[in-house]
Amino acid sequence: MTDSLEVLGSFATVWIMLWFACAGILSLAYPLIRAPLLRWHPAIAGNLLMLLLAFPFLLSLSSTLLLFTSAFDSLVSVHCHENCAAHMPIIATPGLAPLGLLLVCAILLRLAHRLWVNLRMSSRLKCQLEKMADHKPQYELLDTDKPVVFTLGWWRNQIYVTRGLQQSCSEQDLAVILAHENAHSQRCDNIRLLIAMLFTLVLPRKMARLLHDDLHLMVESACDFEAAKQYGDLDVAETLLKIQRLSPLQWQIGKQVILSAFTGAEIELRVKALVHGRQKSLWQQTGLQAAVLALILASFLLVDPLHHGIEDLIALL
Amino acid sequence: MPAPRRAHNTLPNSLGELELKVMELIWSAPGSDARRLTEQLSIDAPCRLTTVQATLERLVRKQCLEREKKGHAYQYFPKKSRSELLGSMLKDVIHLLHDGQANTILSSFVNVAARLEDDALDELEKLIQRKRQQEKNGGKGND
Repeated sequence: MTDSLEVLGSFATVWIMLWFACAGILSLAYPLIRAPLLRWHPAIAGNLLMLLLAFPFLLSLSSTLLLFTSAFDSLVSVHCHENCAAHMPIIATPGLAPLGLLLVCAILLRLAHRLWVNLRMSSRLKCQLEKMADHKPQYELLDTDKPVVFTLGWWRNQIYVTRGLQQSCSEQDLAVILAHENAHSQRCDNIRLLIAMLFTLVLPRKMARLLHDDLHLMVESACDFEAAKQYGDLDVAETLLKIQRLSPLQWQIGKQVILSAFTGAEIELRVKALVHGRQKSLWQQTGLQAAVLALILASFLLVDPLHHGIEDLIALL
Repeated sequence: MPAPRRAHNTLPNSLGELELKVMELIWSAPGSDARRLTEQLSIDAPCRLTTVQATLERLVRKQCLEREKKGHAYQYFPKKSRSELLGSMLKDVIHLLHDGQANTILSSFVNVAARLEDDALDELEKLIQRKRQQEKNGGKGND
């Protein structure tokens, strides 16, 4: 029992240390690659960014699993301690392994809590709006004059359009909007953003926000390009501007005024991307595959230095 | 940026399933009392008078209903129209988009919380027109 607790605690401690270390590397490296990434085709850039976000979690988990799996002992160079048997780097320092286990449990609980809050919010909103909406063939119509359109949900996404928006735009505009929103459903973008939010939990808040905002921009832009396949880049760009013009600088709802909180940088970048065009180049796609391969390779290559590094750390402690 | 709201307070204008059903009944027949509402709700599924009374109490507290005493019973009237209630719910949606905390469950075609001045929008429109003109001319000038 104590032995398995020690192994589990050591596993958790190594995993958490490695996760934080990789997250730190990502925080330092991302500003360097951000500008070129934003110039890529948003669909590929979005996938690559997802992979980058997953990198600290996946790499730390896979390396730690390999490290603590006896089948992969051959990945560690031969060395002897008291006897020369194959061994795992068990942390024997009193309190450290249980602390690591507690930390992992705390992070997993935080992940579960975030997931639950989002799930509850989504189902409550969806349940209410479904009851209040008029069903149309492609969307649900909400009888209010506020010009808003949005997609709600994770698996079975539903598009909501308000009467205010429907009356303010042409049939062509509405078709563009629906093509964009349908692209969100097909690409499961809300799930993507949810997973990204979970991956960025251990990152510094400012960096997590930047990564999340960039991913959001890429996701929206990718859906613009999907809509543009049917309606053309410039028509989609024009619809974006038209709908943005309908959004007031402040929302007056009842007695309450909500001031617009964000700059419109995202819409500007989306329109410019459509006007200037973004091509899916072969090397961008190759870059994505190379990143996946690098992740797998790094998981294996890390096992030996990680094993010795942890043993050195244990010796120091 | 507005202060982030706590998770439990993200949907302050939300109504439960039974609350919505009660609102629907009162919109169609204002002045109903708890007993009559219980009878109507029981057509679909068994429903207890005390549950309906508690629901009505909550709706009065949430400022969705108002009541008048007639004899021994209260009669309930809508304080918010269907459209006003929907407006309140939409306020939650816009709040969530402002906070940026809901973009894992909500995606909107344009960010309704974004501020982009007319001048900037005009500039972008000119950019699109220039590109259209270039495409018409078949040229490839700089943007």
